[in-house]
Amino acid sequence: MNTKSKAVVGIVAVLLLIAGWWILGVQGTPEGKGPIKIGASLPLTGEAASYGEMTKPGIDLAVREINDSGGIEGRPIEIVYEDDKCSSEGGSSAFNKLVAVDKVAAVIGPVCSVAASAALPIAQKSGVPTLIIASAPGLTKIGDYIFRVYPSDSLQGKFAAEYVFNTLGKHAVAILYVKNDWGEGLKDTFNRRFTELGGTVTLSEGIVQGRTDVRTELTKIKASSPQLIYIPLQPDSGVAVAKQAKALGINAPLFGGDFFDTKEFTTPSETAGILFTIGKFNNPEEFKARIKSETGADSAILTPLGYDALKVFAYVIGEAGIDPQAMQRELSDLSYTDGESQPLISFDKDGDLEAAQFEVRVVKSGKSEPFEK
Amino acid sequence: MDIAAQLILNAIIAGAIYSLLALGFNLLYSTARFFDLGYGAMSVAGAYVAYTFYNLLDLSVPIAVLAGVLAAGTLGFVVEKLVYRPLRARKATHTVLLIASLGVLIVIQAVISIIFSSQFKILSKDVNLEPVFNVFGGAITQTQVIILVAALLIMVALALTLKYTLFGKAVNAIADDEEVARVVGVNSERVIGVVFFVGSAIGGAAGIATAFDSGIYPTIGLPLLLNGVIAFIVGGVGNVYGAVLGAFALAITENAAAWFLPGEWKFAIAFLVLIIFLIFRPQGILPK
Repeated sequence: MNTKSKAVVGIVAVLLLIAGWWILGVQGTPEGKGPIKIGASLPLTGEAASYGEMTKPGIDLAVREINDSGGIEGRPIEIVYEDDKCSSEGGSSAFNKLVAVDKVAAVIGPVCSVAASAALPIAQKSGVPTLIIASAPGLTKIGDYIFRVYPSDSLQGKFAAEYVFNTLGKHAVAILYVKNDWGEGLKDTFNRRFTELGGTVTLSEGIVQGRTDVRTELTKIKASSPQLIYIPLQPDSGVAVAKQAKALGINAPLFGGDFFDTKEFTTPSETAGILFTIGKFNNPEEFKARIKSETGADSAILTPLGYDALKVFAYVIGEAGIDPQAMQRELSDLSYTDGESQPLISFDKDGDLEAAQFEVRVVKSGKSEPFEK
Repeated sequence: MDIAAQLILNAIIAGAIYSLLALGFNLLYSTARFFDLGYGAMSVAGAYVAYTFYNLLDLSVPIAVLAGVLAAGTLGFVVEKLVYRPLRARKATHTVLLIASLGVLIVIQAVISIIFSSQFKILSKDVNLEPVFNVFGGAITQTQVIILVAALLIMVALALTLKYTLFGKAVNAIADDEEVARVVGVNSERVIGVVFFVGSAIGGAAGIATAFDSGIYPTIGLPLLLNGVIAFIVGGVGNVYGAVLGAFALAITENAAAWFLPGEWKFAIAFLVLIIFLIFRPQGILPK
């Protein structure tokens, strides 16, 4: 490299530094003026994109309602969406950007536990109050700035075990789970409760995320003769299991977790009749109509949660201002009764929902609907 | 007994797809002489084109498969013309070509994600109507039988072509020594172009088979490629029958190991097989 090109590289480097400093400097919102920025880390692309698509209209409607009625003490809310792709890299880069570049006052999301376990330490370290929808049991233990508006999987796994044992009357099950925070959380809590009730787990097999050839695992499971197969899997492996289990002549019913409530899973014909558990929330007709007319979207299970999460932040900021510590204290003592998704939003000492309910849904003609035995 | 039968069937199905991957890769490697990572993307592109024709445009299976295979072949041909040929003309090293092919893989996968989203897709309509055959107590679906037969046919056709046609002789000549081949009058650039078309088309067939059998997503190219590469190395570089044998050896080892170990070890087993072969039998499964 000659002197001239060295000089050019040097100048470019200096310009980049200045540009970076300028962008960071300008984007930070000074306290007290301008819009209040709230971040949202959602999966907007990838196999979990439908969860992001469900949550977004709720948040958008809440923002619009608040800003139309004059904002919070005169300051409008500005929402910054980041796509966490439902992956750990996506989660940490989304939070790094929201916290360091956008300097948001609070964050909604992630919805995916995989993204959340990578992202939440960033929020905790920077002291940004975060309302997550992700469900893996350990997430709220990351710190006192993390609160959850969706029930923890420790409750979901337990609910699934009780439902399978008591309501469906199946006492010998095999488990095929995805090896990530979410799948392992459900597997552990299901396993514990199911054996406690006196059931037998004939075989428990984990597969890596994204695996779609599961024939060997299913062959092993078939040989262990379970009455039901519990499959806390993501949609890709879930569809593959449904298809390959049928081909292998496995007649034991399949029972999944809350990842199955997406069109990727419910559309293929092979998943018809599969049951799964999911958090139970209200989705009032009047709310659905408001979502439809304001955003054009259909209100699905997570839409009222997105709406409530934003409204909770607006309420907390209205009460405590945007000082993170004051917001954290306000959230700890929260008792919010104006929500659309549930009658009461309040958190226990870990930051988990105090009252959590589940339901069992069934895949039917390309959609899911509540299951009645 | 039926468990053993099922395991063997599972291995045969996986082996058929690995064979296709290894055959295509083998063909490219023996003429172009570099590790073409872009090959993984051709498989995925073929699968997505077939998906478009079958699931979105509602055309019949043969048309969709043909379109996918031709699209993969054409894409391979075009990439060779636009990317690899100029690099070769510039006497680029194999490392440069390898890195360029990594770029090809990433760019094509990204384009596919943009067009189709990165969501998981499956190429099937109604599995309940699909016939399932019973072989010694194990089950195999019609799709899987078709995949297996297609893989064997492609293997035989490729072996015969390489042995008895002028094109095959030209490929073998280039594989032995490109410069000598050129001296005796083989138009090596043209032959390599055709090889990229055929090799990528076979890769596309493997991608389509995967899509029918278990489903695809844009980044599945790399895992597909790796399975093909392992089978190719185990089978012995440049050997058509060896590639198929390597593919089945890999599939049988994976499935047998998964019987004793948890399924999460599957990829680790595949690479263990690769390392063992690289150290102890670099010439591959068949004697030279």
